[in-house]
Amino acid sequence: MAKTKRSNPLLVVAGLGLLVGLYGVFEALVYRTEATGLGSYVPWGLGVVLYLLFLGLSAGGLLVNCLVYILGKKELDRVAGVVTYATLVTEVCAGIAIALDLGHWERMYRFISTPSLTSPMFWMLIFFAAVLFVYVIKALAIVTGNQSLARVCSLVSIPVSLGFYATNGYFFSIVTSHPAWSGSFTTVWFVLAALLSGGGLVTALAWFSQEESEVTLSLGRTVAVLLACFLIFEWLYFSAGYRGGRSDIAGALTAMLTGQGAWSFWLLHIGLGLLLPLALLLVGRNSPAAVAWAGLCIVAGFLAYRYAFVVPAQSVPMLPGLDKAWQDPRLTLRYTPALGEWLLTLWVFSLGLAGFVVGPRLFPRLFSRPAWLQPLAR
Amino acid sequence: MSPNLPSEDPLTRMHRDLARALAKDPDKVKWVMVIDLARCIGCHACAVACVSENKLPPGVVYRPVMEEELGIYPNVRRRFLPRPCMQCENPPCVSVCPVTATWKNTQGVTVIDYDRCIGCRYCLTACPYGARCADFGGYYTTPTAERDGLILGRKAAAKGYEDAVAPEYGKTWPSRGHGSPIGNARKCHFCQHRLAVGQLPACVTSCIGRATVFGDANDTASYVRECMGSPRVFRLKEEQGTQPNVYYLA
Repeated sequence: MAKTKRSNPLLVVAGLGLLVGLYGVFEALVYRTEATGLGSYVPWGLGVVLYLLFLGLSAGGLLVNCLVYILGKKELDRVAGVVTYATLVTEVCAGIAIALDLGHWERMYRFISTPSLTSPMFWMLIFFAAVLFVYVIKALAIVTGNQSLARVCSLVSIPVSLGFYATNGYFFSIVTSHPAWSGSFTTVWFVLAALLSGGGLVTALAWFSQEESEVTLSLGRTVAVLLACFLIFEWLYFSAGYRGGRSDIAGALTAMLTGQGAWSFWLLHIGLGLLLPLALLLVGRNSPAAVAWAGLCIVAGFLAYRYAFVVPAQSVPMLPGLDKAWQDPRLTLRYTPALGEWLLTLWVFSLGLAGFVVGPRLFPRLFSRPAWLQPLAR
Repeated sequence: MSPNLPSEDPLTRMHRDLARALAKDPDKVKWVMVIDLARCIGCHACAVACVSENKLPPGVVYRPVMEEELGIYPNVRRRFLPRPCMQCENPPCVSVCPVTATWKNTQGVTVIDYDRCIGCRYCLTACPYGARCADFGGYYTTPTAERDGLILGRKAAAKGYEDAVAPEYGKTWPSRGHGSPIGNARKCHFCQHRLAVGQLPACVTSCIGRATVFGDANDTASYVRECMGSPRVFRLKEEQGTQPNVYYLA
């Protein structure tokens, strides 16, 4: 994307998306959740899905920092700038998506003025802000060529980011009223899912943006391992869910596999997001382009994964017959995103795309190797 | 008269119990509800009375009545289960709220500060009884016809209902379309505004089968305390550890 010829069409696409999606933003700002397809029994929809997708994508920074500073893969530090930038862009997208999903976004100051220390959502916000802060400082360190500060930020970011992604999983794991979410398994799975999707993004960026073949192949190998782990975890999730003998869990899983959004689960998540990249990573393991495309496929498929995790789990009534007790479109177990929600989704995606396209022009130092890895001028 | 018939309307006794409770130190009162399923005829009067009392908009219902058909023809029967907020002793909805907009008051009722709620709907997903609703801002009168001078429609209908001020929590809320409670989570609060003026909750007074019993659990002489001692008593989803303060008689 550093190449202007390649990035101009993408900039036009992003611009169009931002323009068209503006109506979704307007609706969310003015009419809040009124124009959504949400209801009281399915209160979380595309907004939460988007948030989870982008927060996962931001985990590329955690993955690369772990590889560089724990596993000693120093060559990956070459893409430290673009990875830091990707973390910041995706975090901003995640923040916008979830803020516009609130019924009263203008009261967000309440997180600080009247906090609840028992709420995972409060801690999620704290970790969100901490990750953002650490990566902003790291970006400044890279831009100014301050290697020691960048190193400190990277080391600090590892526990902070782990706390962030684990808190997001914990957020769902304590919701015992939705058994498809609850359980400590969810917390671990969330961290793994974040590392996989974030890894996919930085792998793609390492090639398409930086053309670092060695780094791309190295990241590709890590992503392949994460992908294999994710497949095992997903199999365990469904297997344990069905064999556990609880009808509410089985109902939620069946809704994922055969319900309203089953096509996206099978085609986008399993097909595009897991099997295709697995094949690309195995067959084209020596081709940086194939590995980068595998990363992009993972990123694209993760929207369907997050949708499958969030929406079908809510399609099981909390009490038998509750959804039939009072007739109203807001009191059903079905959820179909409204036009405004799709437009908002388009806007947030376009914002992310625009961020990546204009990034090299606005912050060229982040899109080149850090100063301490460049050859000294004679 | 049959000796099995009650000598006085249970409502009269509950009113007497209520007066006694209101005369006590408020911190020593604990409101509970008992619903006798054998007396519930599934008329939904409680649900409608609640909606009317609290001026609830479309999609918001505090006390739906669930219906279940049991048995195999010809040996079949129907069972009705009204579901108000359980006012749990250990409410999962309270601990997840990120901005402390909801809490249990000293009398055991879980309440919401509409002006503090950010509308994240985490409490809706956390409640194991689906007892919380989000107010997305709808109007019953939206599709009603209106033509000035010709059809007396939407405006007149709204005047009688939606433009009326919701009395919840004893506050004067603005008419709909002007902020909270639109965008908030909402729930049954045992009609706090009615209790404050010595009235029983709307669902209790509207129950034609006298299936809903309400009162102070700390008053050993109260009718509700007597019902809580029934061998038929059970609570919903006890395995969740929520310890509901709404009891059912099977």
